[in-house]
Amino acid sequence: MVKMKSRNELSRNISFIAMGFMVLFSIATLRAYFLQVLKSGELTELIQSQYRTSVELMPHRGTVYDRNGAELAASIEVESLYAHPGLIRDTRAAAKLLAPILDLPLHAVYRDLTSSKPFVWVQRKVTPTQAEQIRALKIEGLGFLKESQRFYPQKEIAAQVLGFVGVDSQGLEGIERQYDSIIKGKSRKLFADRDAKGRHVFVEGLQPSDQSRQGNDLLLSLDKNIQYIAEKELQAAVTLSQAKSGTAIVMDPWTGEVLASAVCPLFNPNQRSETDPDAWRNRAITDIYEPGSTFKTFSIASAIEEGTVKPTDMFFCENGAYHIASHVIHDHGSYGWLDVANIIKHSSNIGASKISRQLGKEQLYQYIRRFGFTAETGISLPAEQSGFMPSLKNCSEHTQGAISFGQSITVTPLQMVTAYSSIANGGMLMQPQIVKRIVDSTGAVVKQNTPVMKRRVISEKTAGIMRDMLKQVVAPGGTGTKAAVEGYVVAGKTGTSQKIDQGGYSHSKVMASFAGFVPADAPRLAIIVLVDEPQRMKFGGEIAAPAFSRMANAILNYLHVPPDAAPAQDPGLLKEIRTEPVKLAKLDEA
Amino acid sequence: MQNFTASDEKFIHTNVLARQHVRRSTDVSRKDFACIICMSAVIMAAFFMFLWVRIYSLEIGYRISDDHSAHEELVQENKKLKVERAALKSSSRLETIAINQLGMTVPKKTQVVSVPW
Repeated sequence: MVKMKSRNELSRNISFIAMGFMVLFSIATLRAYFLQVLKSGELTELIQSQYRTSVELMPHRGTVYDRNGAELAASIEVESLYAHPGLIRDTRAAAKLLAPILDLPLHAVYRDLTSSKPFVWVQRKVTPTQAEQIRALKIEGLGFLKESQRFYPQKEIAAQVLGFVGVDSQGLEGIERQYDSIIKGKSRKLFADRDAKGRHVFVEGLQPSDQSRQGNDLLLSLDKNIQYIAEKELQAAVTLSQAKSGTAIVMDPWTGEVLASAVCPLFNPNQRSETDPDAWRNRAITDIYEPGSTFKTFSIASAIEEGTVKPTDMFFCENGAYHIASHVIHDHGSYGWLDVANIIKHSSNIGASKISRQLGKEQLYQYIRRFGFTAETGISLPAEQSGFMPSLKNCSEHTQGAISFGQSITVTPLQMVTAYSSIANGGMLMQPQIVKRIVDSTGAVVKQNTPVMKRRVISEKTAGIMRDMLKQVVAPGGTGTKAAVEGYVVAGKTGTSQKIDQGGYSHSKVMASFAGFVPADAPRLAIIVLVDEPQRMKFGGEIAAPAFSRMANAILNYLHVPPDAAPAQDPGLLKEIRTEPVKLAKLDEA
Repeated sequence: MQNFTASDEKFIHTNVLARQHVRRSTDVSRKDFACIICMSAVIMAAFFMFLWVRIYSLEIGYRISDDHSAHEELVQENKKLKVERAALKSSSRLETIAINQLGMTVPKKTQVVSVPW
């Protein structure tokens, strides 16, 4: 009986233990469910944070090229110096060592190193030499991070067109600003494991879309050599005339592509902090001016196109003084009867004014707008101005006359060269373009800009008549003789406009300009040269026309444009050329 | 001859049978022992295989990491060289060298012959 009792007791105990295990197992199962199912995501993240990490890849800002593929703006990685102030043992000694290397005041470095923040930038984008010197110091608590630095290898070339970027590589001016979203690229993360030494291990490999962080490249219509010529000659004109500033634009009249856009004073975007911010402005599109006599071309072209005036019509130029209501319009010479061609050739304000009266102000306004004035050209650059013209209802007879010879209206240099291009190409107003192509990092074309004709402004016949008249301006006796280029026929117009100063037209401050195209009968270049407030040689024909000539001569040479009339050749040179095939034959034999 | 009570007989019978059952069970375990060993070996092999794959992927990961760094450095070096080349080919620099060091000048119109193609 005793044995039976003990056996039953044993069985009961075993059952109790089994139940205990069951309870414990159930608890364990519930806990496992809680951890593995309910808290799975959270815990997975927690464990992954212990060994998984992400490597942020800096975006690569796209490169800006000229039309021939020369780099105008490119980004490379440089190092930036940071500090963990809490980890630096002797901040005073560290500051004393760093300040001379970084060329910073000692107190500024010391302030950074004693900051209460856990992380501070000591100097962004240090030079490789500085980085090497600082590394050699082996100061605990200092480190380097890689950042992107924008470089402009051509220095001053097209600086105002290109613009520049800020310290965080964001576009601030020019093309850099306008196309920021397209060329900046995107930062992206690569996920990696982290080993005991903190090294990254790409156990899952690299994602195939590694190129996605590379921004698109831009191919501009600018030619760096033409740009250099334009800037050099403009600088020479500004220096010679002791002018305040200058602007020059070179355009392909058939496509509207801007080949050069020069602004003086120049500045180096690599050292922009050392230059006057006034020099950063792209005056070719942001500055408006009263065009003066260069505008007569359009009022006269409008009248000829409308048939209100024939080229042979004669106008009496009032011997230099023409009264309209209470105002008097003057010419710079005392002219009697002039035909239309001579009105342009001698730049008669009175003649232009009378021609516009025959045209009528409604038609004049319409044609001014059709030539693209008083509206933005739509070139893809920031801060473009549209210019100004009084409203039609406020346009008095005197105002109409003034507009016809380029007063009481403001334009931008780009509008003016675009309008001259329309005369050059037979009457088509082209859309000015600065970007030819956008390509991605693999070289695939993202966007191709093709020439766009906005509208036909005048007929080919009228354009031809105007071309012939503008040739006379550069011919002997005209106001623009100094714009002539040896071997080529030039068509163009001088302009000298008084600037508004203290509520009236200034007698000392003028804008001297020359706008035209060359070769006149088969135009390759439309050029405008504008000199702002020259102190010497104040007329467009004296300072802007010679600059036009030198510019056109050098560019036509560079583009290998054959001259209209072949100049007399150096006989020695011809002889040398004739013997060249013989030399080549001898080389082949050798 | 010892006389057993019914309960004793039942007890002996139960124990003898139980021992026989145990012996029979032990015999079965011995037969399956080899099978268990084999299974264990397979599991161990799979484990080592997994371990080897893990170590190998780690090694590949390190190689990718090194190659990635090298690639980045080469790309940057390439960019630096391109920028340097562009700076060296700048028009103003070339003109200065041509005029000042090589004594070159811009040819006059009479010195240029246009050859029609």
